[in-house]
Order: sequence, then structure tokens, then C-alpha cells
Amino acid sequence: MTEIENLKRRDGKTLERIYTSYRSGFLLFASKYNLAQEDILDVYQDAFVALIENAEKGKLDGLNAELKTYLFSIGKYMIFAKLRKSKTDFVEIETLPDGLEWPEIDENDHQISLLENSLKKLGDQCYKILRLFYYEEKKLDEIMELLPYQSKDVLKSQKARCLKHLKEMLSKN
Amino acid sequence: MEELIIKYFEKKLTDTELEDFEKKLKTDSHFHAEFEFQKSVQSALRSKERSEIKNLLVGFEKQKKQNNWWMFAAAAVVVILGGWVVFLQFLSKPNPSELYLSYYQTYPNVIAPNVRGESQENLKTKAFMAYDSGDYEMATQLFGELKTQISEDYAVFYEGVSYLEVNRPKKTIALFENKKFTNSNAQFEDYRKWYLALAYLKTDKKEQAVEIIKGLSITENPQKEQALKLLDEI
Repeated sequence: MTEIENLKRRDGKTLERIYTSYRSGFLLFASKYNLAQEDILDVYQDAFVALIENAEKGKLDGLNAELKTYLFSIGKYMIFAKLRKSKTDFVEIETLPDGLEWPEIDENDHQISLLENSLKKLGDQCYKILRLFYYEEKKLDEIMELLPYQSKDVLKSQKARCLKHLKEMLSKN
Repeated sequence: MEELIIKYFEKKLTDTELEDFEKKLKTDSHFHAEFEFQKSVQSALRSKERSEIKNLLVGFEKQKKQNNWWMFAAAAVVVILGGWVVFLQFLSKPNPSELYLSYYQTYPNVIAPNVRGESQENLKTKAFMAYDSGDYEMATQLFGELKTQISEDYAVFYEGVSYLEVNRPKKTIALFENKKFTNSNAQFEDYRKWYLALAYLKTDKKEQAVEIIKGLSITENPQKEQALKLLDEI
């Protein structure tokens, strides 16, 4: 199994090995920038989360650069984003490596945190479908290959039922 | 309606569909609400998955800290134990028995060196043969017998040393306390005191030992150096 595949299934040993092997290097790299010490470790963890999220979305498939390169580029992007938020003076814009994404989540959106709670109570099958579609951003045709649905229409209506179920849970709050 | 939203998330909207999509967002409030809801579901899923991954990483940090904690604790234990041992060695004097062991040496046979092939086997030569061969049990008996026949100091002296050899220091003390070897070789008197002191050490009677050793350390005698050294350690 390749490193990326191990990342995708969140294999504990693989994650820990990669996490620890780049940790001190990243902290040193990040210390060049004017960030609080506690923020640096936070950035490293966020960059690592972003690396895994992108791997799970298939964004790292077929890419040949080292994981370390991605991890450090993502980290640098996040450092600059943090600096821009905290400072008034000019901070250049750093971009994510080509093809990678890190969609922002509005932490103050109450609806999102309510939904997050409802997701925990959702059945396994529903969670799988929604996770594949919205988180991994797989197309319905791709999900058809991963989950045992007889037809795309059945999958489609199952997905609709799952969303409806979520809505109902939300309205009870 | 649902079809357009699915295609949006699948990033498969054609140009005309995109136009249609944007128009509906503005005009159809139901469509708008449904789309916003699904966007929120997407954000909630991302948020949930991200915190699950982050928890794994926080776990690695905790493990690291625990490992460090153990390493520090182990290192501290080693340092404390090591320090304690050094401290003990600095401060604690060896116990009297240990001192006895490090200072005791068998007194050599200076009276009757055995000559190979010597046939004359009187009591004296037998006693010294036993002494020289390390049969001190036998030596104690033979010297004890000899002292009744001769008045020379060496019989009692070697009897006493032999008793030390067989680990009966009380016998040595009894013999040496009541006898002074003043009328013969002066060395026996000095060594009598020395072995008496060692016998006291062996029986844990430190005070008596110290008193004798002090005496040896201030007079000129063959054991003066040793006495000074022992006094320092006691």
C-alpha cells in the first residue's frame, strides 16, 4: 500500500510517523515568521489536517512531489493567512500548491455547528453517502462504485432521504 | 431542482446550466434555501472530519509528552539514585567489619621459618607449619599448647592472630587484653595492640578500637601509618 493510500485511510502508524518526522523541521521553518509560539504548532496541525483532507479528496493522487513539500507549502500558505489576519501592514499572498484546496469554514455559523452535532447521530449508511459526496467531493457515479446501490436513482433518492433526515433533526433543535 | 444542485457539487454544470442555476438562486427562495442547506452540510462534514483528524494529531502530541514525562522521570530517578550513592560514599564511613577486612593482614611467621625436609617436628615447628599452611584452627590449638610449655611471647601472639583468622575475635581479645609483650621483641607489643584493635572492630566495638588506634597513631611504631589512615576512615 502506498503512503498516500495509508494517509487516506488514516492509518495511525503512518500518520504518527509522518507527523513526528516533519514536526521539528516545520516548527523551525515557521519560527522565521513573526508568529506566537503556540500558533506555530497550531498551524502545523492545521497543515497536516489539510494534507490528509486533500489526500482523501484524491487531490494528491498521481502527484509526485514529496509529502513534505506539500505539507510545508500548505503550512506557509496558512502562516501568511494568519499574518494577514493579525497585521495591518502588507503581507504578500501565498498560494496553495496547484490542485490543493483548503475551504474556509465559518466558525461563527451556528447552523454549521448544529449540523455537525446532527451528523453524529446520523446512521452509518447516510453518513457514508454524505461524506463521500460533500467531503470527498465524489460524483454520484463514483459513489456507485464504492457503495452497493443498484442504480444511480436509488442512490440519489437515498441521499435525498439522508438530507431530509438531517433537516428534521435540525428543526427539532 | 435537485439535479442542478447535484451538478453544482459535482462541478459538472455547463455554461447554460450555470446561468439557470444563478437565476434560480436569485428568484427561487426555496431553491436558494436548499442550496444553502447543502452548503452548510458540506461545511459541517468538513468541520467534523477535520476535528477528527486533529484529535489524532493532538493524541500524538500527548503521547510525545507522556514519553517525555517518562524519560524525564526516569532520568530524574537515575540522577537521584546516582547522587544518593555518591552522597553515601562521601558521608558514610565504612562499617567496622569492612574496615577490619580492608586492614587485616595475616602476621607473617617471623619466628620459625619452615625448612623443607626438616625432620625435627617439635610442637613449635608443628604450630608454625599449621600457621604457614593456613590451618589456623590447628594453629590455635598448637600455639595454645605451646604457650603452656614456653614463656616466650610469640606463642600467645600467634595464638591470638590465629583466632582472628578463624573468625573468633573474642578469643583474641581475651588473650591480648591480658597480656603485654613487653619483655621480648618490641614489635610484638605494637602488633598486639594493632590486632587487638582489629579484633574490636570485628566485634563492632568501635570505641575500644579507636582508643587503641589513637595510641598507635601518636607513637613511633611500624603500624603508625596504617593507624593514622584507619583513624581517618573510622
